[in-house]
Amino acid sequence: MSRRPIEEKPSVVVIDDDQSVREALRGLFHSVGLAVETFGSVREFQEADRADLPGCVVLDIRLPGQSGLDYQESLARAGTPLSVVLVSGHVDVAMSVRAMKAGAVDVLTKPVREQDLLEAVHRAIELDAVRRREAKYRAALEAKLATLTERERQIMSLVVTGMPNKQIATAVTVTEATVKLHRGQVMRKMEAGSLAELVRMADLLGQGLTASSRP
Amino acid sequence: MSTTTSADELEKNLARIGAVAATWLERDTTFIAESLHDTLIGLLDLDFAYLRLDDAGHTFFRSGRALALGEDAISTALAPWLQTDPQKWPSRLSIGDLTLPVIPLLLGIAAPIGLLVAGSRRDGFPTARDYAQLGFAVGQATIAFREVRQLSDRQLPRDTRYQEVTEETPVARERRLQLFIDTIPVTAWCTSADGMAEFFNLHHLDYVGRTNEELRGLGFLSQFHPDDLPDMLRIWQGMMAAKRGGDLEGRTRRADGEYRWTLLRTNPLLDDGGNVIRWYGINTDIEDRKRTEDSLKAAEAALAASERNLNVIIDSLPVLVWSSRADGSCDYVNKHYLDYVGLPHADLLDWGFLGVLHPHDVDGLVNGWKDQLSQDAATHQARIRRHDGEYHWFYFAGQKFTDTSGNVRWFGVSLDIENLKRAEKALRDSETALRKSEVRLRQIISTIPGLAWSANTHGEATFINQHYLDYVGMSLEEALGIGWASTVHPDDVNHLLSAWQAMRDSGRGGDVEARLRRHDGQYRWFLFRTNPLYDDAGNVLQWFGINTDMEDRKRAEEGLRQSQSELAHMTRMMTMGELTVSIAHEVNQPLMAIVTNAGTCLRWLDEDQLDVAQARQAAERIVRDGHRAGEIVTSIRALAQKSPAKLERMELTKAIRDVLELMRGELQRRGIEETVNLTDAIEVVGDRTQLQQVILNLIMNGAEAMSASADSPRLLNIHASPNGAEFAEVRIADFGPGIDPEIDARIFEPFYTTKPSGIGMGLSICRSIVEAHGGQIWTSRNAPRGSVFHFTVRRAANGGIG
Repeated sequence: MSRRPIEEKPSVVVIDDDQSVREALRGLFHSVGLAVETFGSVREFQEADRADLPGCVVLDIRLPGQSGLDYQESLARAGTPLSVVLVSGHVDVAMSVRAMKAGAVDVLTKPVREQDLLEAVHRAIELDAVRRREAKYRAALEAKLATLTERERQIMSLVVTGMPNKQIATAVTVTEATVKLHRGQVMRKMEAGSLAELVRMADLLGQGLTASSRP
Repeated sequence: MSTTTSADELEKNLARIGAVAATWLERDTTFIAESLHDTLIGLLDLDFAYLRLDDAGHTFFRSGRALALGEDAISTALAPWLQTDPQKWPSRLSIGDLTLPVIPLLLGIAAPIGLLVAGSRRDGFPTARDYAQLGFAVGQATIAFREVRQLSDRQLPRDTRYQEVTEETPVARERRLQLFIDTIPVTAWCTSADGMAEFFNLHHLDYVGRTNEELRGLGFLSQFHPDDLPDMLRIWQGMMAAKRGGDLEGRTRRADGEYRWTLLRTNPLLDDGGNVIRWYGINTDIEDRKRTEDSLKAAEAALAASERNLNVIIDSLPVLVWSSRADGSCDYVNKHYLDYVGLPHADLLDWGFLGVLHPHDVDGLVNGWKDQLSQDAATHQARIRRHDGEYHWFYFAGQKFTDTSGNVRWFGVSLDIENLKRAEKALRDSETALRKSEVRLRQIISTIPGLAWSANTHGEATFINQHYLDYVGMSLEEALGIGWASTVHPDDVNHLLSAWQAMRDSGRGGDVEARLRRHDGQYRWFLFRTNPLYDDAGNVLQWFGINTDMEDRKRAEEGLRQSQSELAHMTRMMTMGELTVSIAHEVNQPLMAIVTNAGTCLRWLDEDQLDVAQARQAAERIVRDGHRAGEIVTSIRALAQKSPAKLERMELTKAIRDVLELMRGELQRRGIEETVNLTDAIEVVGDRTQLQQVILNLIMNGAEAMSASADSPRLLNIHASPNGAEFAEVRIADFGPGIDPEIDARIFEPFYTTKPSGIGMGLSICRSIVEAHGGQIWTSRNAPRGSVFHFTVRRAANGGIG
């Protein structure tokens, strides 16, 4: 998967089996200056390989083949976040709960007031932009993290917990001086200006810090 | 009987015969013969004894028992045999109606002097004893007769008792007597005591033209007519036996050869002992008197014969003949009457005849009969009891007869009219039956709950039953011909008349429906059913018809149609209820598009970014989507509407597509993909809503079948194509679990369901609808799995509704 520049203009993807609805939405989003791509079904969308486009997806719940809701849930499980606005002719509570759990930006009932839809879409696009930014920062952190040695990663994971060097030396059975040396290396490699920044980075990496530690 | 006894008896009998012979002291052959007969008849139990003496030609006859046969019959029977040797006689002779054994025995030892014949019906006759006794008797008689003969030939011994009566010399006296005798104008004669002629006076000799010598002895017999001789001899012997004079008649041949009836009057000259010395007689010509007598006798005989004849007729008439007195009591009934009732005269005479009448008829007859006695004729009918107890009807007809003296008698017959009565009754019964059956027929025709009529070959009514007339409130005259047609509903009359014409053209009966106006003006539906009557050649002679009120049936049919339609509607609504979510989705789609487009349109009209072209595009999409929404709503309303079934030409594939349009949401909801394989437009005849309901039901059915099983491919194949020239076929194939063969036959039955929530009407309604459209519905297996529902519907003929 090739990455595109982050500055790329967000677009709205419409997946709806109804031609008229697709055309209407295309017209609407076009009128507010959003790029639009439309698909008749989930499969068409997958085949078009456009899942990493910035922007959001307006997804009809009821679709031929795989339903919109199912698809959203499968994306969420795969950890491939997409900003989704679900629309449907009939939306019940159970369906809404499922959709929200799967991370949908909004669930709207057809016919949708265009203002509501546009707001939802904008929110979704914003969310997508945030998500994309976070993803990008995190990717950079991870790249930095990847440059650490095993010992440095170990020392970092202890440093961000606020443990003094002396205790760290005891915990990893090295001298305090050695701890200081590694600590300096971490700060430099992670490009952290302060301990507080390093802690924030460790937070962002979360599980990644330990999870990516090599066995 | 023992031999000894028999022998004793024989001895005793012989002694008796001997004793009889001892009485023959007198020289009287008649006495001998008579006593001989008496003895033999008594001893031997003879039916008759016959004795003939040759020299005198006398015959003696005696019958024994109660021999019904007269002397004549016996003489006639014996006559052919009298000159025959007794050896050659037959042992039995037929005498009259009888055949009985006879024994002929000759009298005389050296030469025959006579013949004795004995006959008896006694058992065993003649036995040897009979022969012995007869032989002995004949022997005795022979001796006696010969003695008598000899004695008479001799000079009679002087009878000392005789006294001269005059002093006149015998010669003188004899001369005077001779003269006297010859002169008197009568024929006179005398014979010896045994009947041998001795003297005839001149007058007699002149009369017969014979001489004394010719007539002497038995010669005188030759002067009589041979036919009269036997009778004359018999009477003559009787006189001799009785020793009394008398008259006898016979025809005497006159000198000119003519036989003339003569009266012979005899008188015996007796001695003091009463014995006959001589017989004297005179003959008188009675020819003229006889002729008168004969004609009288002939008349009487004729009368008697006629009476006999009448009796025979009366007795043999096959009717009961009777006569009665003036008071009505019976004094005569004929033999047939007696035979018929099996009673003797005595039981019927006077009022006895009432006893043979049927008890119920007695009073009527008595009263009627007494009433009619004053009239000249009387008739009556009553039952008479036959000898076997059976009663027969008789017709009594009597005629009053009043003789010159004013005496009144009734003569009548009674005729057996039983058969006539029965025939009459049978006729009456059959007439009654006929009348009854006619009445019944008329009753049937007038009361059958239909309007019955007949018509000629021109279609004009020739008969209309009362029910019909009452119904339409017309008189027969008004309704006959084509008058009845005015009561047919104006909208139906053309159709009815053309159908009626078609029936008459084809010569075949048929049915046609039309409304008839009742007398109160209300129209009701009737079924006119006609049937022709053919002659032998197969030509229609007449038409018969019956119109049956089918208003109620019509209404029921309509009601049924309506309830079916309502049921169909109801199930349709239920189905649509299930589809509400999907259908709402379908309606929402265009609405969604419209709302969105409208928003878009407005945006392009904002002064900030005014773009009329974009706004127009959006507006055009609004218009398009609005129409689309309208179409969907129309489809829904069409399915939801409750309207009577209406057959019309319609396009099948379009109808299927419209249904699919409504169903798409539902199919998507169920994750089912439909593949549609529709050929070009197929025109069919049917009710669009109902056919769409069938399609909808079958699609739902397939969808549910596949939803129910997790491993089914979610694929529904809908196919429509022509099936021959007449039909179009729709197939809806699913990939569900298929239909259990065991229930395959039942799935179209009402209330049959395999679904927990179903009411089992869906497929049943489908079948009702398809069959009402003249099509069929069935299932088959789908490959590789699932089932296919097929149904056919009639295609529209080119240019019109088929």
